[in-house]
Amino acid sequence: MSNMRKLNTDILYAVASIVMLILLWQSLSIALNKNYFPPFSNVIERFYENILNGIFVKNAISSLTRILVAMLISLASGFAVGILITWFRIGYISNFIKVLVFLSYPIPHITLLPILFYFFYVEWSKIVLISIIIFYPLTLSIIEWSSRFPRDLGDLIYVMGGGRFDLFRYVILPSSLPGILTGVRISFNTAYAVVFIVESLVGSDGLGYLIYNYWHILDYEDMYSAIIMLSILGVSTYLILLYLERKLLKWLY
Amino acid sequence: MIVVDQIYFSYDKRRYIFKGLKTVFEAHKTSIILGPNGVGKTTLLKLIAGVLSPIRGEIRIFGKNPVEMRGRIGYIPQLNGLYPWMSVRENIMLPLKLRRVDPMKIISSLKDVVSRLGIEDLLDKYPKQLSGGEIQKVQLARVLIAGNDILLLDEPLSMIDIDYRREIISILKEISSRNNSTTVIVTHNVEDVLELGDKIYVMRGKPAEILEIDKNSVSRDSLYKFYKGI
Repeated sequence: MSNMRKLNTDILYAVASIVMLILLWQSLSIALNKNYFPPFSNVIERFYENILNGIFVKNAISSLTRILVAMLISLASGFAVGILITWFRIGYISNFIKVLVFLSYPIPHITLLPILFYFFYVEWSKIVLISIIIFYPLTLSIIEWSSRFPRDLGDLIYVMGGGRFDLFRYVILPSSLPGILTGVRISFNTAYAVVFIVESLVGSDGLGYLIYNYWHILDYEDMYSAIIMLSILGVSTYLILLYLERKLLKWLY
Repeated sequence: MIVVDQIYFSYDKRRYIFKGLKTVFEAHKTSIILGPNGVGKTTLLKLIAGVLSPIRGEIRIFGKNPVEMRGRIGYIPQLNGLYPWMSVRENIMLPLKLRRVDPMKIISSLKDVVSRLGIEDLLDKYPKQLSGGEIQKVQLARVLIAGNDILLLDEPLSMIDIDYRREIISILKEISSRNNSTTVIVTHNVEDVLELGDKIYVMRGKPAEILEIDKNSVSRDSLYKFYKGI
C-alpha cells in the first residue's frame, strides 16, 4: 500500500515538473520572440503532424534498430571479454586483455568514423561506431562486477560438489547482474547521443538525420519536435530498463 | 574419521596460524572445538572443507583428501552462507542441482525437508528478508537435503535469539544421529559445547594448538579456565 502511495507521489511530481518546464518554455519563447526558440504550442502541433504522417515513426525505427544492433554486439563482446578476464583471473590472457581494454579506453572513439567507412558499408560503419563507444562502459562494468563476486559463496559451490561452470551460473552471473544492468542503462543513454552524431554526419534517415536536416534548412519547429521525439525514446528506454531491473533483481529491492 | 596431520598454514606466509597442528576427529561423533575469536577455528574448518589448502602437512577424511570429498561435505560458514539472489527454495535445492539430481526427486526431497523443519512459509522469501534464526534453519535444511554425512558447522548458534536456540540444537542433534554423521562444530561459546559435543576440544595459542578434553570429567568452570588459557 505504501509502495503504491509512493509511486503515485512520484508520478505526481514528474507530471508537475514537466508541466512547469512547458510553461517556462512557452512564456520564455513568447517573451524572447526569436525564431530559433519557437513556442511549445507550435512545436507540439508539428510533433503531432510528424507522428501522424509517419515520418517520426519511420525514422525512430531506423535509429532504434541501429542502437539495438549495436547494443547486442557490445553486450556479446563485453560479456566475452569480462568472462575471459574472470575465468583466467590470474594469468597472461587476463592481464593482456585488461591492458588492451584500459589502454584503448581513453581514445576518442568517435574519431574512428572516417576509418570505419573504409572497412564497412555506410550503414554498418554507424552501427560499429556506436557499439565501439558503448562497449567500454558496458565491459568495464562487467569486469568490475564479475570480479567482485563473494568468494566465500563461490567456495561453497565447490564444497557442495559443483564445478567451474556452476560457479559462473550460480554465483558470478547473478551477483554481477545488477552492475551489468546499470551498465546497459548508462550505455543506452550514450548510444542515443552517438546515434545523433553519426546520423547527422552521414545518412539519409534516422532521428539524428532529421534533427540535423531541419536545422540546416532553419525549420526550427520541426527541429524541436524531432528533438522531443528522440528525448521521449531516451526517457522511455530508461524507464523500461529501470522496470526490468526491479523485476529481475527482486532480491535486491 | 578426520585426520589433521601436522598441518602448517599462514595467510601471509609470515605469521603462522598453525605450525604442525595435529588432531583426530572421530567418525560418527560430534566434535566441538572451543576457542576465542581469531584463534583459527574457522581456518581449520575451511581447511577440512577443502576451501583452503595447508602449506605443509595434510588432512584426510576417511582416507581421502578434502577435494576428493566435495559433494559429501555439508559446510555451514560462519557468516550467512545463503545466496542472496536465490529464494529460500532455490537455496535449499542447490546441492542437489549441483549433483544433477532428477528434478522430480529434488522437489520431493524439498517437501520432506521443509515440512520437517516447518519452514513452508519461508520458501518464496529471499535471504535478506529472514531473521538470524531463520537463516540458520534454511542453512540446515540445505545440509539435510544434501544428506551429507560429514558436517562442518561454523558457529551454528551465533546470531540466533533464544527462542530459536532450542529448536536449532534439536535439529542439529537429529541431523547428526540420523545420518550417523561425523560432525565438527566450532564455537566460542562455552554453553554450546556442553549442549552439543560428544567430544570436546579446546583451541588456543599462536600458532594454535588443540587439546582434547574428557567431557565427563570437565566442569563448566574448568572449561572457562581452559578457554581463557589460565
